[in-house]
Amino acid sequence: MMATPETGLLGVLVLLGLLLLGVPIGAALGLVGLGGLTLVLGFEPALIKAADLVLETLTRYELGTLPLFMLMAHLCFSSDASRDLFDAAARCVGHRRGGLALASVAGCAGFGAINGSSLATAATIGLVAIPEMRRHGYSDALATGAVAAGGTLGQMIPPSGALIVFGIIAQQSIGTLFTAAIVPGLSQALLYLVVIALLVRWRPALAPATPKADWSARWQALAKVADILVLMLVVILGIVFGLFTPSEAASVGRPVRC
Amino acid sequence: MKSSSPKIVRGIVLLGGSALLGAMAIDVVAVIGRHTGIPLLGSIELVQVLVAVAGAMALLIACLHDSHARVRLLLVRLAAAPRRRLLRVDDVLMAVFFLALAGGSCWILYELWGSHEESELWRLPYRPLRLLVVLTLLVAAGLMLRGRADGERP
Repeated sequence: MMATPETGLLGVLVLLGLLLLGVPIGAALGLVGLGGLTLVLGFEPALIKAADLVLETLTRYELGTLPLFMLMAHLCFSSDASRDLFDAAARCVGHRRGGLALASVAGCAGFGAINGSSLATAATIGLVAIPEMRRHGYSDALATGAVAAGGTLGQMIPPSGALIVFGIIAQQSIGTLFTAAIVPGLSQALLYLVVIALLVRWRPALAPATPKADWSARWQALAKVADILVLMLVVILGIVFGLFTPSEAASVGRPVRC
Repeated sequence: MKSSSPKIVRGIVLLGGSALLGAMAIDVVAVIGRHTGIPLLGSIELVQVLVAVAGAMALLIACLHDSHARVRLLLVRLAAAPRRRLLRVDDVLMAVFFLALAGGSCWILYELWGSHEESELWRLPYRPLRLLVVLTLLVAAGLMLRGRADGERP
């Protein structure tokens, strides 16, 4: 049987049906792919091709990037890096109106640079930032909105899980993708900060002013995140200047954090 | 999923975690070696093997903890009994997929058994890796077919 647009359409419909029925996404994609290959190539070649892909995928060097970055992020999370990042940002800009919301976005940007997931970034920074903002009388909408928006930076600022997966599937250089994402990621963070600043200027009741931290407290908080900042710089600059590959960056990041 | 022996789960986590840490260590040594003029040749081959072990263990853990990503749009709207039945069907489909892959992997393993397939620099044999893949897929299929203790997970 030849591959036709109809077989492709049928595959998409079956895939959507399986996904809707709650079949795990990997299995749904695999079953449809296997079915399609069987229709086009026959049972035996389809089975062998699919099985060959298992080992080929498991031993893909680039695929090691994702778990290694996740390991690095998890170790940072275990050492309370998310709280330290938020605290440092909060002590520096927290006294301004909407400062804690600004600190949430800055914390998300910082944590996004050691972790490639939006959900993980929003969850970890949200755990620290939302109770703090509520305690200071921030509106729930602003508090959750700042964390939700800031969380998306995790997916944009390198290392990004989405870019790693895209690079593997589209066979593009992950290092180039990471480098290309730096400016959009930082400009996105900057625009979030501008929007929050304008919003609290327009509606001051959303975010009451909070006490100003003295400079010694600020330096203390900044000193606590110095190693994380070094880690971010090493990871991003190392990839940009070609000192190591993204997979190696994830591995090198761990000893830097130690 | 039905509860599994904590020792087995811990063993799988330890093996996968050690493989990941091993891959990390090799990458670090390779980077240092490259910049100090003592390159670790074939480091990618070593990392590939360790990543395969870590990936295989991750698959088993995902099966044991029922943490495969799935769309829960319909599942969360169903009553307990139909949800349990649907989850059972999902598990069986997942097992069929794993068994198909295991079957194909066995086929390739049988065909290449005497071919001394190995990596280029370190001469790492692929046969144990292929065996690991077959075993992992069979165990994963078994875990899926074993059924779940509760249907309330979603």
